[in-house]
This record gives sequence, C-alpha cells and structure tokens, in this order.
Amino acid sequence: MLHRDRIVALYDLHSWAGLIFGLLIFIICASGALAVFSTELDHWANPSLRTDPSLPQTLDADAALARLSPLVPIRPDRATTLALPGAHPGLYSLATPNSAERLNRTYLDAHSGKLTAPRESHMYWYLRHLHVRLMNHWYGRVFIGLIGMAMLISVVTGILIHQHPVRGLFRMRWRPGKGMRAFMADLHKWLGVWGMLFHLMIAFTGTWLGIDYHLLAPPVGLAKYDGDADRARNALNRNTPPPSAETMPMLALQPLVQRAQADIPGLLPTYIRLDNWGRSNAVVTIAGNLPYSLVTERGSHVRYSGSDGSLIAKQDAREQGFWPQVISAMGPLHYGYFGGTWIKLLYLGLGLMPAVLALSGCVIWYERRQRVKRAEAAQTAVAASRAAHIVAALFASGWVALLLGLVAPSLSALAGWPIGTNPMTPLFWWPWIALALGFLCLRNAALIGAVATALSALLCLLAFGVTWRPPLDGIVIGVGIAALLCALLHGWLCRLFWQASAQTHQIPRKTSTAPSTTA
Amino acid sequence: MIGRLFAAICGAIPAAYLFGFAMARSLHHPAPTDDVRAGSLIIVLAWCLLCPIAAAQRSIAKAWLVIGLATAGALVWLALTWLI
Repeated sequence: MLHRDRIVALYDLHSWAGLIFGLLIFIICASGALAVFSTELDHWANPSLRTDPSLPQTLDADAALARLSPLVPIRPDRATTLALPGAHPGLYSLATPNSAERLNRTYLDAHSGKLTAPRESHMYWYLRHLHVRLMNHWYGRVFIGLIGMAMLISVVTGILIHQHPVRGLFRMRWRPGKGMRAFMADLHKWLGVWGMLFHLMIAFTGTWLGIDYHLLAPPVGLAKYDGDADRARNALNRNTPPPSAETMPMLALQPLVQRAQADIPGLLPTYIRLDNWGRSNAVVTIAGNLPYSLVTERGSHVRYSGSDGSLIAKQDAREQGFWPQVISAMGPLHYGYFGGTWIKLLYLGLGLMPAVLALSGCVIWYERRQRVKRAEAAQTAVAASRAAHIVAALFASGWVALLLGLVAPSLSALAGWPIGTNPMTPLFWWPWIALALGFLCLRNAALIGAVATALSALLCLLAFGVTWRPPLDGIVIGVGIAALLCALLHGWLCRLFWQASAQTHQIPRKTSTAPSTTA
Repeated sequence: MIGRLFAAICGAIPAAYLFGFAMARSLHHPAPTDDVRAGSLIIVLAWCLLCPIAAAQRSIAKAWLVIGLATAGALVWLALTWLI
C-alpha cells in the first residue's frame, strides 16, 4: 500500500506527462492503431495494384529483374532491392525514384508480366510515416521516442496510482447519469485497467524503437568498444565492401531464392538485395518473413556470393540467443504483424484505447480544474472553460485531419491528380491547423465534437465510395464494410454530441448572470 | 514536487545509460550489434523502472538517494566488466 504523499506525487507525474504530450499521444496512437492495417489499407487505396492471388505466377525473379532493370539500370556501387510477390501479393517491384517522387516504385504483374499503372495513393507510407515520425524526416523518430517515454511514465504511474489493477478488472463501477466528468473518469479507469499490459508493452517497445538508433545505440556502441568509433559504427551498420574492378557473370536469382527457403525452413522471401552487382564480390541477400512467429519482418536472411553462389552468412531469427530474440520481437510486438487478421483486429481495438485515454485524461483534468476554479472565482472558471474548448478543438481537428489524409489521395487520384509523398506532409498539418482554428470559433466543446464527428462520418462515406471499385476482393470488401460501420458510429456520436451541445447551450443562459454579479 | 520529478525523470537517465553500457560490455554474442542493442534495451527498461520508484519517494532527498544508489550499482557493474 503506497502512502498518500507518494500517490499524490505519482498522480502529479501522471497528469503532467499526459497533459503535455496528450494531444500527440492521441495522434500517434490513433494513427498507429490504423497503421496495423497499413498493408491492407494500401491495397484498398490502390485499385491499380490489385491482382488476383488465385492466378499462378508465371514470372520468376530473373525474368522480373530482366523486365524491370531497363527502367532502373542496376549500378554496382549502389544496392538494388527487388521486392518479391511475398511483399506485395502478385507483384514484383523495383524502386524507381524520380525528381517528383523519390519513393516511386514500378510494379510488374507476376502472372501476366505486364507493368501495372502507377500507384494512386501512398497510404502505407502516410500511416507509417505519421505514426513513426510525425511526418518529419529529420528528428521525428526521436521526438516520437520521447513521447513514448511520456506515455511510459503515464502508464507506469497509472498502474501504481490504481494500486489494485487486477481486482479492478472485475470490480470497476460505472456511474450512469452522473455527468460527463464521471463518465470520462469511469471510461479512463476501465480502459486503463483492461488495456494495462498492452499499453505498457506498446509504450516500452515504441520508446525503444523511437530512440534506439539515434540516442541509445551510438553511446552504447562506444562504451562497448572503449570509444573506438569505427568498431561501434560497424557494429550498428551492415557494411558491404566496395565493388571490385573485376566483372563477372552473375548467377540466376531464382535458384538462390529456392536455396534460401531450404536453408531457412518456413521462410517467405520478400526482398532480394543486390550489392556490387556484376562484379566478382557481388552479394545477393535474400530476406524474408517467418509468418506466425514473433520475429521482425525481413529479420531472417541468407547472403550468397552472386558470382559463385557460396554461402556468406545465414541468419535465422529463431536460432539466435535470448537477447537477439527479444530484440527481434520488439517490431512484431509493437506493430502486431505476427498473428494474422484477428491479432491485427485486437491491436486495432487496444491501440485506439490509449488515444481515448489521452482524450479522457485531458477532459478529466480540465473538468476538475474548472470545478476548483469555479469555486474560487468566476473569471478563472471562464478561463478553464476556454482551455477545455481549446483541447476539444485540437483533438477533434487532429482526428479529422488524420482521416482526411486517408481519403484525400484517393479522391485526388480519381480526379486525375495523384498526390505523391511530398505534398502529404502539408496535407496533414495544414488541415489540422485550419480545422483547429475553425473549431475554436464554435460555441462549445460539444458542438466541436458534433461537427468533427459529422465531418468524419462524411469522410468515411467518401472513403467507401471512392475505392469501392472492381476488382473487389476480401480486403476491399472488408475495409469498405469497416468504413461504412465507422460512418455509422460517427453519425451516432454526432447525434450524442449535438444533444449535449443543445443542453450545454441552455445551461449557461441560466447561470450567465453569476459571473456578472460576482464581478 | 518539481525537484522530485526532475530527479525522477532526468536523474534516472544517466543511471539507465550506465546500466546499458554495463549490459553491452557483459554480453558476447556472435553478432556485435546484438550486444549493443541489448544494452540500449536495458537503458529503456532501467529508466522506466527507476523513474516511478524515484518519483514515489516522499522527499527530494530520498528521490536523489534512490537515483544515487542505482547509479552506484551501475558503476560497480560497469567497473567489473573492465576488471573481469
């Protein structure tokens, strides 16, 4: 049992960590929950890349490389990565960056051998980039790691404050009809207790994934090698020797892919990386996934010599020691790609919980503050109410901007102006700012909720309408139905907010004389 | 309260780093990157354990005492990796 003083200290830490980073935790967790289905959403948002998985693959890796390599000449001094149909069902692809779009790829149908139309939307990139870097290439990942630390503090202190989380799982009480603050407090406790272990895991893995590469690993590497920067750098990066001057004919890739599958049983090859291609020291790396195992994507690979086929290195993530396996499990544990669709659905639900917790936590804090201030002076009560208004506007606009980023590229592509990755960054931030300013002009927080949910319902309907095009497969039908259900849910929430807005509009009229009389 | 929170959040960082350094030096995996990344994992783990423990102390002196003890423990472990 913790002493009351200690609980107060933990409560302060919990509140400040949640308040300062609450809004960003909301956006990161909401985008992260959706990003669990980023592959499926990418497939849904790009009708031009949909293939029929039942058709046999007539093209092997060599034929695909021969077909794609004229579009991107393979240089020995630069690594080339060929994506196999294991990465994107039914398609081979090669990065073909150009001045307008540096993430551009060219796709080849593995059945027909024809080049597909260009992709219409960078949905996968958008969701991942927003969640992992907040659309910022330079320091976004580190910033996300620091937000993960704040979330970690919130979760750990939340568990310590609650004191009896296991008992609370089944003895939580709901107080219907006791007002918004009581509802939010009950919701906050209920979600916090039921999602406790998941939130702890997500915050821990997210923090580590965010700050490992830039803030943690470099000093640890220096400490490990007594300050030898070169050895530390080599330990962190896989360096390939520079290409030799001697040219050699290269081996066929398809037999090497089959050898890799024999060397690592169960391997689903997804990428082939070619280093020093065409030279005597060429290296072919065949990387892939081990489906239904807690191993990072592309975490298992085999490296062969491209000239004589000799085995250079093999890494089967399942055969490594304790710590490498723990490290390898961090990615799948965080992104939820280790167990199929049901695990992803579970991650979607549990992943949205911290977003709701961030929102409900902020509402509880401001409601409590408003109540205390109201008792002290009417002027400050108005200030606290404005603060709640601002919080509502920022959270609601963040959610609508997130949905807008999902729908706008498809709409734009239909209109004949596909949006690349470069305009996507302002496409998220500017609508967020504009919507937040617009929402601040509305009468009260409930009305902001009503307008935001109405806009969200409209965007969900648009999402359904613009991408419900043949060929329709399981993913497209599933995402389409989910978009319709989301539209209905937002519509229902809109009705609730509208009613609450009407009530709160009437209440101040009765009490509006109080501040003036006090003044 | 601010001083205690500062001790908990910022004071725990050097101690956590020292734990990570000691961990990385203690491990000897075939691939050196595994030692380094295990060390970085321990930093986050140590920080998220130390931070609430220090924050839950009833005075700033006790919070710094917890941090100091943890730092001393990590330093001893790190020294042992050089000596042994």
